[in-house]
Amino acid sequence: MSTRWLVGLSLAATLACGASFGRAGEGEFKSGLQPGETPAAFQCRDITGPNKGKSLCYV
Amino acid sequence: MLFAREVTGPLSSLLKQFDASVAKNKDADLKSFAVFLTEDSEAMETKLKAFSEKEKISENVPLTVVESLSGPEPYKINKDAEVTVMLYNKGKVVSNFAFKAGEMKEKDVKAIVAQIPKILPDEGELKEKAEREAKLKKDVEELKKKLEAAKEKEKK
Repeated sequence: MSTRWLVGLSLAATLACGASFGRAGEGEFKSGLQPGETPAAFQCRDITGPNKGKSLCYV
Repeated sequence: MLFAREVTGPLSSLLKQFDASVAKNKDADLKSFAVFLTEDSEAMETKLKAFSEKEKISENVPLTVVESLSGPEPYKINKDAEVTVMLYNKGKVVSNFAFKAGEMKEKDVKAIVAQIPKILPDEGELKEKAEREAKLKKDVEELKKKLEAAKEKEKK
């Protein structure tokens, strides 16, 4: 009896977690690299920095 | 690193705080730069020069331009993002913040700035860096002396 109760409780908890993760993922606005990802080199034109007027990579 | 499509809202506040953080953490090699994505780089350049003068953003935070609204492809900048901020250290992104037009508020600026310590080296790493630099300086001095000695020997 107590085993069945524990299994039931565990299943309910798993479903609740899944549902809440699902909601958070759908509503989240994402842009750019996410934590753990590696920034790649790219060229930009410096307007106000120490290399103004030059194209270079600041990454 | 910050990507923006417009010079609006509390962006100046954020860039000023990046400026101050870079100045305060020179020893830790903290760096920052902002990339403005535009289709008209000449107009953006004029805007950025005026903005940096007015807001007194120093060379600590270079304002730069990429002539493409979508930005560098690997960065996956959302087409609806007005501001995207990525804090990274040792070649990995640690924190990411993204805002649609008009959504970034002063409280978000505070939240972003509060994450900066996460990308700063700890005391041990700073000590190691100082030791490496001291050794390099010593090696350079020794090399200079050897070169001078060799030159003197050649003269004789």
